[in-house]
This record gives sequence, structure tokens and C-alpha cells, in this order.
Amino acid sequence: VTADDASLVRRCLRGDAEAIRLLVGRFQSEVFGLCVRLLHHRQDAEDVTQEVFLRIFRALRGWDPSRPLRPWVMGIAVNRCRTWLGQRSRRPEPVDYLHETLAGPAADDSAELLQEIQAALAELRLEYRTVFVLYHEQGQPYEDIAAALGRPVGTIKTWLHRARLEILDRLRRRGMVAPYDTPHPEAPAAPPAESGRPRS
Amino acid sequence: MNCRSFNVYLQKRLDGGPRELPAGAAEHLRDCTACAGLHGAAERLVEGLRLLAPPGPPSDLGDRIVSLVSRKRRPRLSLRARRRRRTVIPLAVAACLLLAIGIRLQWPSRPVEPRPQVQAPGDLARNDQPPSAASGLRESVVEAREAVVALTSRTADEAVGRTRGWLPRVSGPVAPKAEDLLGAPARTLRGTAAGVTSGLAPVTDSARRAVGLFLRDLPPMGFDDEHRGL
Repeated sequence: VTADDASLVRRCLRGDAEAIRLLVGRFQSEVFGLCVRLLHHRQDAEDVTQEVFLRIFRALRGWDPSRPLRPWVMGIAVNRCRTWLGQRSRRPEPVDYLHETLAGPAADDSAELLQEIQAALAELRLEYRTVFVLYHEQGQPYEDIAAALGRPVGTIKTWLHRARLEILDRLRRRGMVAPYDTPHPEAPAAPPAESGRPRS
Repeated sequence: MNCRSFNVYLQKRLDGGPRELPAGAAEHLRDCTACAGLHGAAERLVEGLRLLAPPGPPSDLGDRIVSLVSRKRRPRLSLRARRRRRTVIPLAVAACLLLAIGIRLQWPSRPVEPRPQVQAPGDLARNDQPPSAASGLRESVVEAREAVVALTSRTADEAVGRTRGWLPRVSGPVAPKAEDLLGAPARTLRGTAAGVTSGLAPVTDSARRAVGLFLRDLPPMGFDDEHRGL
């Protein structure tokens, strides 16, 4: 737990508007990104993100300062997404979300590759998808994911392993494979951030 | 290398491990098409993850959240104000209760109003002003009821007292025979009926007057005077 988190929370509890803005700014990208990945709907993700922050500020007094703040926040986001998905399953299915942006120059089949990864992600179980997004897209370490989901680290590793295998299987079936003896020119030499290694 | 050890390498690779194949992996991939397919897919996945940018929030989402949170948050009182509120409110409630009890105890009790006398029928006939207030109606009904009860009981006592003398007195241990009584009637049946009627006349008159008084106090309901007077 950083002293920064604790002092920020204390200021928020005192009603400091600047601290509230700081806390929202610190986590809104991750919360929104997770919501988009889990809900597959951008408008729903915006609504849920707002709900998540409302709940965060309502429950901020109950945050344990001896624990890190980020997993606590992401845990609330995951729970809200799960609840939202449960409610949405009783409503008509929204328009499928395939919005994606390319972070770098696109190769010839990059758009197709991204679509395949998106579709494979959408087919995963919610737990697998959550772990995959938190680890590979948001770069969170196993321990933080375990804290956010309230599961042991071993369970998180198992879920991630299975999620990867399912995605790889789909990519293989769809022909999205690189020959083993021909290293892909776009693939990096394993830089941590690019290959999805957690940032912290 | 076998499939199991290659799978371990694959997971390390997806964890951000080195891209170089370990010793013996190339030979295994040539022989195992399943692992070769997984390896090719893993390389594409790594590439796709690099290209996959996390979806960014709308530019105004942060402002919307802050305004929403600020709107929903209730202004919190300071610690001192909260303590003061915790103390002052119970004290104020207790003071109000004591004040109310004191006022109730010290307040002079309302003097008992003398019950109005039942007016004679002649007075009632002269008094044509009906009670205007609705609250007076209830009092009038109660008074009329009490008047009916009092008059009925008094007149009944008087009537019973008069007729009591008509009954033959029984003296002696042996009751008189029925033939003796029937053979020498004290009065004729017609005379007895007239006596009973005259004896009960005060009762019926009183009841009639009471009902008239009761109906007189009722607010007008569209009946004419004949109906009101029965």
C-alpha cells in the first residue's frame, strides 16, 4: 500500500474535490477498459464505470488501508460487470461490440487478427476473460488479480492458462498461426510491456 | 522435449518470456503438429496483444463521474458538529417532553359545564331554532336519549304502580282455586283493557314526545312537517 493511496483516500473522505478528481483520473481508464472487455458494449461500459465510481466513493470508508487500493477498485468493477451481465441476460441482447483501435501500424491481416482475438475473448467464461484482460491488457500482477477477484493466486494462474489455451485453439482453428520456423517480423523479442507482462 | 515441457515453455512465452526456442523444441515442433499449431497461434497472439490497445474512455467521462459523485455525496458535518448534534438533539427532545408534561400538569382543568335541563314540550315547541353547529347535534342526541330513558322508566314505574292494585291479593298458605277467581271477576275484560290503556297513556305520550324532540334536533333532510311530527 502506498502512502499516496492512503492520503488520497483520506482527502477524498474529507470531501476534497481535487482528490476525488485525482482518484477518478487514476483508475477510470482501467475500470472503463475492463468494463468494455467484459460487457462488449461501450455505452454499457460507460454506465457501469459511473456506477463503479459511485460505489467506490460510497464504500471508501470501508477500504482497508493495509491493502492495496487498485485491486479493491478492480474488484468492485468486476462485481458490477458481473451484476450488469446478469441483468442484461434478462433483457434483449445489445448490438455486438467489435470496436477496436490499433495501437500501432497495422499489418495486412492485423484487423482480422484483432477480430479473432476479440471473438475468442467473447467466448471465454467470464472469470477467464476477466483474468485474461487484467493480466494481458492491463498488466496487473497475479497477486493483484487474486486480490481483486478474491481467489488464490493458483486459481488465477489456472484460469489464465485455460483462457490462453482456448484462445490459441481458436486462432489455430481459424488459421491465425505463424509458421514455427519463420519468426514473425512484427513480433518483438519479448519486451515485457508489449507481450503483456504485468507492469508492476 | 515433449508436449508437456513445450506447453510450459509456451506459457512462459505468453508471460513475457524469451522468444527463443529452448533446446530440442525445434525438433519437437517438426514432429508434433498440435504443438506446432499452438506455437504459431501463440506468436500471433503475442503480436495481437501488442496491437490490441485498451479501449480508452471518452474524454468527458471523468468530468461526468466527478460531477455525479459530487452530486450524490451528502455533505458531511465536521466531527465537532456531529458530536454537538449527538448531544443537542436528545437534550432538546427531553426538554420538549418535560415542558409538555409540565404544561399538562399545571394547566387548569376545564370547568364542568352544567348539563342542560330537559325542556318541557311546550318550551320545545316554542324553541324553533335548530342547533346550527354539527357538534351540537351529537350533544342533542345524547340528551334526547337520556330524556327518553328517564321518562320511560319514570312513566313505567308509575303505570306498574297503578296496575299493581288490580291484582288479587293472595293471603294464607293455600292459593285460591281457579274456579273461584273465574266465577267472581273483579272487572270486565273491556274495563281492564281501558284501564291498561289509560295506565300506559303517559308512557306512550312520553315516548312520542321524546321521539319528536329527537327528530326535531336532526338537521333538515327534506321531510315535511307532517313526517317530522309523525
